[in-house]
Amino acid sequence: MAAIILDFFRAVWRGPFGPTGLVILAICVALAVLGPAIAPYDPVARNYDAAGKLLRLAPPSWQHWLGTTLLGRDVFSQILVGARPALLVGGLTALGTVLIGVNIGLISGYFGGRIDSFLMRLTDMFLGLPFLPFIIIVLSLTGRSLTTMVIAMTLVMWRSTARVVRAQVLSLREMPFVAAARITGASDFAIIYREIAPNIMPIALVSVAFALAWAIITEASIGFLGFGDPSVVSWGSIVYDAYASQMMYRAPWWVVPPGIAIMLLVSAVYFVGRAYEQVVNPRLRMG
Amino acid sequence: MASYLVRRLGHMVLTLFAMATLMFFLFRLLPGDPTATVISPSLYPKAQEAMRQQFGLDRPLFEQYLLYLRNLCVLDFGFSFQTNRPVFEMIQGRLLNTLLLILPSMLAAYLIGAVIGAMAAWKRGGGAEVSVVLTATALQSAPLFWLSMLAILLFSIKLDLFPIGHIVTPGLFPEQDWRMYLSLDFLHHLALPFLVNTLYQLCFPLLLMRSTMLSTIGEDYIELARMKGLSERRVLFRHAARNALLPLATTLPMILGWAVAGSVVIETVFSWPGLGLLMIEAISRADYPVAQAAFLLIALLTVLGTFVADLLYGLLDPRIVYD
Amino acid sequence: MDASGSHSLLSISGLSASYSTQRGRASALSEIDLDLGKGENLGLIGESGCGKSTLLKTVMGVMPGNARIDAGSIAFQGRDLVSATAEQRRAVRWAGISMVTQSALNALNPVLSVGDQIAEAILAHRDVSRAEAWRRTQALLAMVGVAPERARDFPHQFSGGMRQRAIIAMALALEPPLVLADEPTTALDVVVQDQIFRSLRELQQRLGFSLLLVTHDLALVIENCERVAVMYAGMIVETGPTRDVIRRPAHPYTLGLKNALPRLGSREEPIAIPGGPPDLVDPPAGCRFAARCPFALLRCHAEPPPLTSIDVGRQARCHRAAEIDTLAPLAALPRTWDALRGQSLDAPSA
Repeated sequence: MAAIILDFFRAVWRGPFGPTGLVILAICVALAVLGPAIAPYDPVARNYDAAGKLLRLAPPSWQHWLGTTLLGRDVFSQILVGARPALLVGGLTALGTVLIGVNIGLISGYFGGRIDSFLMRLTDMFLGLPFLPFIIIVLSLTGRSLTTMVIAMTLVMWRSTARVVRAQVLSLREMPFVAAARITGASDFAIIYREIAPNIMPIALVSVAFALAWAIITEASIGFLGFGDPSVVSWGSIVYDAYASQMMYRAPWWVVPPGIAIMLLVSAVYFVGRAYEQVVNPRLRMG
Repeated sequence: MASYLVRRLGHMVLTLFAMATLMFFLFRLLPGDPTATVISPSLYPKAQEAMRQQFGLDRPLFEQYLLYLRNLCVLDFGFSFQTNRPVFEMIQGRLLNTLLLILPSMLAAYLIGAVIGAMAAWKRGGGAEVSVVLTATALQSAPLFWLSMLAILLFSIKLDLFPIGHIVTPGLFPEQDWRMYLSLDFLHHLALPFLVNTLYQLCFPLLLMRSTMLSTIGEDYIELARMKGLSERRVLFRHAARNALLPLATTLPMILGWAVAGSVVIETVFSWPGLGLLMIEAISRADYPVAQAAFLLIALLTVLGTFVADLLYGLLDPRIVYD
Repeated sequence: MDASGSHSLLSISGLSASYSTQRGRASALSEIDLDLGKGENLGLIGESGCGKSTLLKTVMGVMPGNARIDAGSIAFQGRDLVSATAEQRRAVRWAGISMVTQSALNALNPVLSVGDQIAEAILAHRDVSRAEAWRRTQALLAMVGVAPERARDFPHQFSGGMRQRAIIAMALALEPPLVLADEPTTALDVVVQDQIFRSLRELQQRLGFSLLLVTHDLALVIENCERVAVMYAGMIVETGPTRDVIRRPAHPYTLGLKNALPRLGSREEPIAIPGGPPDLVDPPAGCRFAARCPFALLRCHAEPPPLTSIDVGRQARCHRAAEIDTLAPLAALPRTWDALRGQSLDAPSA
């Protein structure tokens, strides 16, 4: 496992895009940890000017780098604090996606036959499930919280990982080392998890990256549609507040920064994912 | 081919059935009064009782389930809590609005994305390729709702080129009048959401086309096509691009799913009266029959997209044999 | 052969080409001289990686992006191709020089019908209607022994032999004066291989094109070509009439190739040449074959031998070409080559 992670960094570090992505990611992770501590203001506190008047929709200034919201809240602090839910929801969803997707892919590809066709039919069914609407329905019926969001997103996202992993397992299954393991009397469980699983780790890591990117965008979209956890300030919910206030077009400083934050984070994930995929996927290595 | 079609249709029906079942249990097995999601709490107790009987809500769950399935088959989605009108009636027009927004825009996105992606691959290694890839990645990483809002901010508010939202100018046409679709006013309202959605959706086909083209360019038959003295344009579009289109076509199911999912967002920002907006509005008003029907219809579109894309793939690749 | 002998169809002289690698420029072709007359068959032989395919691509003008021509000229029908414009080159492609490629499966586009791929070559160069091009395509397929109605089939519906025939039909579509063939039958079994070459020879008698056959199979050259050029590490090391070259090779590398041929009625095992080709990014200072040559002298490692005339129409690139008659019997003995095995194959630094 350590070797795979080391290989991962070695692979991504080549070329200009991988390192750029890693640096942005590192900054976002630092914000996710330290955001609330280094934010200059309480992100939900109302700010007043020297005369004691509420700072409604104040444009950027030295006190408030990215201006204030309709309720006088500091946008810059909100951006710093918003990194945590984005990465938390994204990361947990990516993790859940990979755990389910990899296992289903492994089992489906390795055993084949009825198990395979059952699991693949199941995957096809999930493939038909409309992504965002499903999550919204689940959230609206079971209550809005980050946990529910992670579960609902994982439920719809494991499907593509399962397909990719299965395809890989189908060819790995025919490899001599699997036959060798079988001859020595290894159990199916041991073959799947000790012989085959390490070989699909790279492709699984690639799908973690793409799941992460999707989860971050989806988390923001749900926040924007107003179905996010009401007690959490996220980049999506900042845009939602602006949108719901009907004042957004008068205050670009309120709307533009959260979008740029999402764009940078997701681009970074794509850069890292593609740089790694380039090395892992021999089909892409040409050209 | 025929038997393949039948089997594939069978899968589709099975998937829809599974989804309908999932919805049934999601909506009914919630804590609280199980009928609360079917019968409007605003009705008089007597009317509520009448409806309870009409929908069989006093019967065991399994019978309710069968009744629910039967109702779905005849497109009976019940009555809206909000308007007390049949849900089916409310949904029809919304479906058309969503399709009018999403389908042309997806076609445009795939066409433009494939052409730009192919050209980027052909001119590989240059600054133009790098900037195309960077721009596409950034656009793809931006949330669609945010891009839509920026577009409104720039083109509608600052430049005053397009209306801010809605499908036609409110009050210009009576509600759900088909003549509005033929008006210039409609096209004027369609333009901005169409452009934003196209721009956002073309990133994926563009990047995919580029990477598959890059692996196609090294093939022997591309070299042979060049040796035959074909012009570069012909080699690019007839030989290289056609092969790269195959993997692109297989992604169509995914992409259509994303586009339908995206329609929820774009319809919200542009107040576009489609299925997605209907669902969001219905949920926020706790109008569950409408929300459920809108969801099932969106699911139907997604599943149908997968089905059509599978057939398309078969038509494009002569190596695929239906058995 | 051209009666005058002075004006050949294809004349390559002093051609050098290199391509860039991560370690630096690799010299793929060095000082290639080749002449091919009208109606003549020339065999170009050498192991894989010796530059045969690069030479063909250079002649066709489809070198990969990282390759370039450093010196020399390629004259086709008296006109230089190296200095020609892209448009002039495109006109020569296929109409003047066509090619029968290696591995016919990858050479045909899987998503276009075989007939379409032949017809498009006709349409690209001749001002004919689609219907006329299609009619000619069907006639071409019939000519190479493929049922014309199969023109609408896709490559995967053809057998390996049929695909190769289709490629030949494609190469002859514009009746070019010169056809290049790059290992045309490697993927096929011996019987099909034989049929293909028989019909290729028949077609040649009928149409009168010249053939440059590139292969690593000496037997194919013996059967099909009156002249042969032996290539090693990007250089021509020996040329001459096939019969003379085979009977009396003038270069130790050719002796080695001949050893590798299975001999009819002989119990002896074929002898392989030990070692591998030299590093072309940093080629040896002397003869490029010296490190693998059992007869190499100090001089061979220090100084590159020039291509010298040794007989009428024969040339060899070897310092010891004059002594070859005494070396040849030794080269037939396995222990001569065994002596090289196990020892370092790197040339001593000069």
